[in-house]
Amino acid sequence: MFKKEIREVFWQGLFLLSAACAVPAILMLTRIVSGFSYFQVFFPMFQFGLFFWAFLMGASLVLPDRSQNALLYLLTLPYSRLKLLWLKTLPRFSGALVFFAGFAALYALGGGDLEVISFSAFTLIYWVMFFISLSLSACSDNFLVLFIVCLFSLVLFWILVFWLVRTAHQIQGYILYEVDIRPFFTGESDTAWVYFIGVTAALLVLPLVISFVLSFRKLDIRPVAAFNRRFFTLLGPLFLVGILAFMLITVPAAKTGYRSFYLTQDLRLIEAHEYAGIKVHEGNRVHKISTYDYYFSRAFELSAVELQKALYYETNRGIARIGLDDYEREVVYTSPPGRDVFSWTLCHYAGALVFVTRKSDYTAPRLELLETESGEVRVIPLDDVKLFNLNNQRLFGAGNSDGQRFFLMAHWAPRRTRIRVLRVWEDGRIESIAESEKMPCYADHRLLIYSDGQILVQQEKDGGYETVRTIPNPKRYAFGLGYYYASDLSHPPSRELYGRRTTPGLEPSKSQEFARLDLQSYTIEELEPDLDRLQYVSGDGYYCVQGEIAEGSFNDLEVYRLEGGKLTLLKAFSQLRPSPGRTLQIFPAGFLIQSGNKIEIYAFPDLRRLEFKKLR
Amino acid sequence: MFLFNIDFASPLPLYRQLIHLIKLEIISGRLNSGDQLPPIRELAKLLKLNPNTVAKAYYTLESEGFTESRRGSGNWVSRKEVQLDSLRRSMVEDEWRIFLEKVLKLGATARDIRALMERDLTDDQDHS
Amino acid sequence: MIKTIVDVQGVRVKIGKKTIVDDVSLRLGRGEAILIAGPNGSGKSTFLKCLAGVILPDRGKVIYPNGTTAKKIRFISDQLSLFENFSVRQAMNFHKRIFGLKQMEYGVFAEAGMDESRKIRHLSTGERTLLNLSLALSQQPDVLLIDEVIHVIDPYLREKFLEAVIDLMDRCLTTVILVNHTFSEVEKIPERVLVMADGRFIVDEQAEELGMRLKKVVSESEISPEIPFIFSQPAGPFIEYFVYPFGPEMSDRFPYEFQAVDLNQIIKAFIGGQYVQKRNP
Repeated sequence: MFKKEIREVFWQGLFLLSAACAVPAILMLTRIVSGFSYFQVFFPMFQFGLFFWAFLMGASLVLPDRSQNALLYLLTLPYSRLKLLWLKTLPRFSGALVFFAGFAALYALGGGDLEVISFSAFTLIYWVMFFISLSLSACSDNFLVLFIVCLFSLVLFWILVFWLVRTAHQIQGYILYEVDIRPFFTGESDTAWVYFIGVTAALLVLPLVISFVLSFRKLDIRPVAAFNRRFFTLLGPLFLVGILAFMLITVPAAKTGYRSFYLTQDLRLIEAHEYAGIKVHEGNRVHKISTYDYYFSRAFELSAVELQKALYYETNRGIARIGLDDYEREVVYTSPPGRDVFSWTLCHYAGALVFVTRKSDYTAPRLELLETESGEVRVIPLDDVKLFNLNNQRLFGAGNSDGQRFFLMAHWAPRRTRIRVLRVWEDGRIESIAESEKMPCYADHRLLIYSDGQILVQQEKDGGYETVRTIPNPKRYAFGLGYYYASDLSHPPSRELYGRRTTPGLEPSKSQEFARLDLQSYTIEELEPDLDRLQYVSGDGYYCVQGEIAEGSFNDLEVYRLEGGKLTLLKAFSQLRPSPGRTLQIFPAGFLIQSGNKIEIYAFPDLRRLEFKKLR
Repeated sequence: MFLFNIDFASPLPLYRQLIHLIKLEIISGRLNSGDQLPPIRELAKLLKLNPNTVAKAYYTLESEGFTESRRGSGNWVSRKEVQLDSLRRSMVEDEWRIFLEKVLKLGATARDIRALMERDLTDDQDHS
Repeated sequence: MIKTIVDVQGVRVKIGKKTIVDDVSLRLGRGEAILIAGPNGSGKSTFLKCLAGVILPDRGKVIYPNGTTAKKIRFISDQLSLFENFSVRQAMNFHKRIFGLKQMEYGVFAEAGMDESRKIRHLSTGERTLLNLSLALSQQPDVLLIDEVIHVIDPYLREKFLEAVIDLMDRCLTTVILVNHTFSEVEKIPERVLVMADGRFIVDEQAEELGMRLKKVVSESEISPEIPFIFSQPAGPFIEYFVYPFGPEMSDRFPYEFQAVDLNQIIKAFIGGQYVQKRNP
């Protein structure tokens, strides 16, 4: 009997395949569809036809026999009903699997570009359709009725799934995108989201299948109403169990999803969830920032600028602001059509946000100033600056002169070995001040330029810059204010700079030789090669974080205070429990270690642990 | 050979009817002593009877001495001539009684019966 | 002591709101031949299907205490369609394999001169029934359930059918349960007669006894109220009374002639009585 079932499935499959191959051919031959290759017409139709195949494989389990009276005969055979079920299900499941595999193969061979919906969405819908049709296959003796019911159930099913998923997140206190379903279909949602939906779907499909199997054990030739009564009586409670299981298993998992953080100067923690909203944790309280329309970036903290009781950060279309006193979010700047903000260049100076924008094709760069008080935007065209890629320019300083603000920009063309220092005035003037071998530095109103094994200390005089000191730098150390200080262009006075030894070329090497530059005596002092990574994170000094952080996870971490060339160990995190994806984020006010879902936050300068009770 | 009319509606149980019919066959000479009776299965199929009915009949015939069963080969008419006569007599007796009952119910008198007998039955009948 | 081959315990079957088989208990022995008769819609077919395992009762059980498995139960019905796409030969081979039979009986089938290569789809109901019978006979079942197929076949093949069944009864001691509407040809086969009405058995007697306990009286006027009858109907200027239960002393006590009736009339009387009861509850 197994062979008979397989044979039937085989013929059905052959029929579908020929129809799937013939219809596009006919369409093309009759010129109803033209201008596409055969595969381009075939693939989407095939994908669509596969849903029907999934339905057929499921529904043909019982339906044909019922309508052909073969059910009576089947039940007189010496098989238990469960055995019958098995003999019938296995070929059909295999049939569904074979065609699915075929589709996957075609997808890999180029269908991926032609798909109507994403592969993961297709997979889930296909198999859900199969199992729904299977479970309902004994509920009617009319093919058309069953088809309509299954389609209807499929739609209802997915509505329920999405509703449950949304509710689960709402229970966890999250707000979702207005249109959160579309990414699932277009393939833009990430794996975690797909898994979430997949698990929910599975938990809801299981009751259907279980009810069917249990009811099948009592299947006989009485009219479908008898079967249906039993089936739906079982389905009700099982479905509730499924939803309960969903509540217990998946709802707690709703807190997964990427989270970005920012620690403010007054030690409040801003938590931006991937597909939920933004929260501000303050001690034991949490303020939710209600917004349906926000852009989530995984590098949230990289572009964030804290300024005057607000946090500014880049969105995909502009700049948004989170008020830290009113907990309101608003978009303060939107790129005009055709233009983008150059990522991660958000800086600030004297109450204004300073950033670079350009057209989508990287031409027509502009320096823009957004006054946070008034909301006014001043635009300074940078036509002289050819921006070829993101790393091509950097704002590294700003100042006031002659009643005007100016901004210092380091810029380099790809093949040039020297960096041009530009001074961009508020009124639109652009001056080329100097050329440096390495990234220049602006500290204490003094410009440090690297040239020929020397550091030139330049100061403004009569509208230009003049070298006032020369520091011999035979070992070619490159000094800077640290990675995390880049956004605040108004650097407070500093007594010292730290730097690494470099090789000829623009970027510092991975050399382990460090030195200190005293900004009062202008002397270079070489240091013990203990430092792995140098971070300057707070206005009150340098902090040094050491650990093998680069690989995306780390098990040891040491935080030092660096002052006067001396390292003082503040805190050591040793033998952290191994965790994949442990990350370290450093803010001006402190730093944050994220191990999976566990968050630890420490504040500068004493590295005391911060507790946010509402943070999960 | 066996074209019996066994009647469900008859007051006689089926197997009794069959016994009666087989006895008739024996008496009439169509079944001789030493002949084999049809196998139970065949007779049942022929007469559309339950095999048990036929078996019962055969069993009773055997217990009355008219047949004997031989292991493995079926049932055979017994060779004892003596019983044939007494069988004949008892069967005639049975038929006579049935006849009388019927005819008396119709209101016939003994004289009517005697008259009919004299009209239709002569001594010549003995030779037929 | 006849072994019980089927033990039906309190079986109840409902279809929708209607109770088709109502709390039926029954015991059938090995080698018994049983006839089940009754008005249309009394639940006979459904009951038979319960015995076959094709319908699972809502309540109660059908037990085969002798260990009879599905392989040894055969159900023949005119609804039994087999696999329509199969040819006769394929169906035979399939059956042979599934039931683990050593050989197939073509007897009845060959008798009808049927072509093995024909598809089942193209067979008439009568031909299908014969095929079913061949399959059943090949199976040599312990229990044979026959659901109203006798009249579907032509009279010639009908006889062959019955002969085949009798053969089976003798050879394998098969328990045969026959559901039928007409009895003239089959009346001598069953030893036990059951009449089903409204999902219950109102009669369960040995066939012979039934013949002796049900008699007909034809009378010009109403008969004595002391005589129990289950049914009466006008017959020309007379009235037929079906007396049940009849006792031999009645012939002496009452002046009527108590006639014997065949099975057809017996069943008709019971059925008629049921319809009358329905009309005048």
